[in-house]
Amino acid sequence: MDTLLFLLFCLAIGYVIIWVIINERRGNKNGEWGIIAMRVAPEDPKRPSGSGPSGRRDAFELDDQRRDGRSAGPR
Amino acid sequence: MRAYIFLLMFVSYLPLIFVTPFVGAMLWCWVSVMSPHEMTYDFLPFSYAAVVAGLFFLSILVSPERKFPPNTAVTWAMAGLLVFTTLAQISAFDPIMSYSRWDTTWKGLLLSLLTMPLLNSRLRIHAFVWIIVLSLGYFGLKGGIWTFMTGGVWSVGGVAGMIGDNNHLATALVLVLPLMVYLAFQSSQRIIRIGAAAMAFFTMVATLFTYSRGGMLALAACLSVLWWRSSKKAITGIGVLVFAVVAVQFAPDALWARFGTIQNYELDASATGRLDIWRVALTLASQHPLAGIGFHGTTLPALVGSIDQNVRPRAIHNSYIEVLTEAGVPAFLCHVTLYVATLFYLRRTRRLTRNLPDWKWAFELASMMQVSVVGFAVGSFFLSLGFYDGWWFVVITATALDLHVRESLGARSKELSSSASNFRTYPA
Repeated sequence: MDTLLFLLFCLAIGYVIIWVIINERRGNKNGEWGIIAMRVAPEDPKRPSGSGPSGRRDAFELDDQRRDGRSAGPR
Repeated sequence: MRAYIFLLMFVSYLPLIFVTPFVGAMLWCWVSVMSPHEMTYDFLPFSYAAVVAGLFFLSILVSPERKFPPNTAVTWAMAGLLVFTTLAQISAFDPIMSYSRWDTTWKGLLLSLLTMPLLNSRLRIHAFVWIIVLSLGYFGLKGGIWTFMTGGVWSVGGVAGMIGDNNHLATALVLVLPLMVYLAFQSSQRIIRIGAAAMAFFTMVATLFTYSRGGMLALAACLSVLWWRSSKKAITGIGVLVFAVVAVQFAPDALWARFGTIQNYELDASATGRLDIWRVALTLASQHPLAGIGFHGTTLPALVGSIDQNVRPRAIHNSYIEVLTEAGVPAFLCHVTLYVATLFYLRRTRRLTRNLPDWKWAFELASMMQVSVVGFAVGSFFLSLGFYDGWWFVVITATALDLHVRESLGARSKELSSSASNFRTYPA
């Protein structure tokens, strides 16, 4: 059992290495490929999909919209 | 058979170092923290660590990735430690005895410095945490299972490397325990979350059953801060409670008797022996403040006898006094700087990423690393782990996390600033 556990952990190290290489090749920032993928912040459907830190549209986005002649109201 | 399979795995990982030097950093971390090669029949004429280090160097040289560590307090403190420990070796009272520790120390520091610039993305930081967790988690999981199988009547001991001693193993497990909790919270797959949580539970059990009093105090400090810093206090609270109930129900009397000696330490020869050697070590440190007495200096009968003939030569059993006595005051200042700077970086990371959903992972990692630092700082007070490379790996990960967060958030705010200035120049 000790040997099995030891080899399992050694194999797991190899898996992490492969996980990094494949995800970097694919450009996956959150390591989407593989079983040890990282958790990603969930999208809140009730929230406007702006790029501000809280998910709201920030002042710059509203300014951009006004500049382009679009409405600053909800999308 | 085990040795052949391990060798096959090890050799198959080596060419991957040339895909990216970061693979070399991960392999180095694994080989130096877990020392898997010391747990198999060693029939090779070369050192596994030397092979990994050599290929890692070569890969860094040919790779276009950044080669030099960033300009941070941790970088300078590590570089300082490298210089001052080398001076300590040169001026050591017994250079031959001191050499083995210096040899692992300079390699550990240099390769940690080379690893730091490679930890430049969430993916890599997360992967590096995995490597640290797997390298030490093996001992935690195995020790925890073994404790349940034997009823806890035997102490869990280390196997190889710097954590061969049960006290050292206990503190190393406390160092890595919060990182397991981080992985349990920040992995997307349920099976991995459960696996990491189970590993954390068995690691807590293994730490307790090392019968290490210092380890027990470190674990108590770690669990207290873990609950305080956890974003899911209910889950961690229940976990700690379950662990406490299991420990109280199943722990043998011998364990409580062992921990009971903390209250009456003056009656315990081991505890009073430590206080005596601390006193001798501090006197030696005051006599040799610049470069210390060299590694393992307090195990020299002549040197200890020159201060107090009634004190038995032994290891110092206090990381802070160990660095101060063995490598001098400048090295001690570098050692303390590592703690202060790491805590500062982690606090800043928490402050910057608080309330940012995209950066919750960084917030949780910084929180759990704070727990690691506190646990290790407490454990280090009772044993000789002043030159432990597992600790340096945690330090560089915390530094890299801080840099990554600041660079990414800085780039985002610059982006917003430039769009604002574009708007100002736009005709009305």
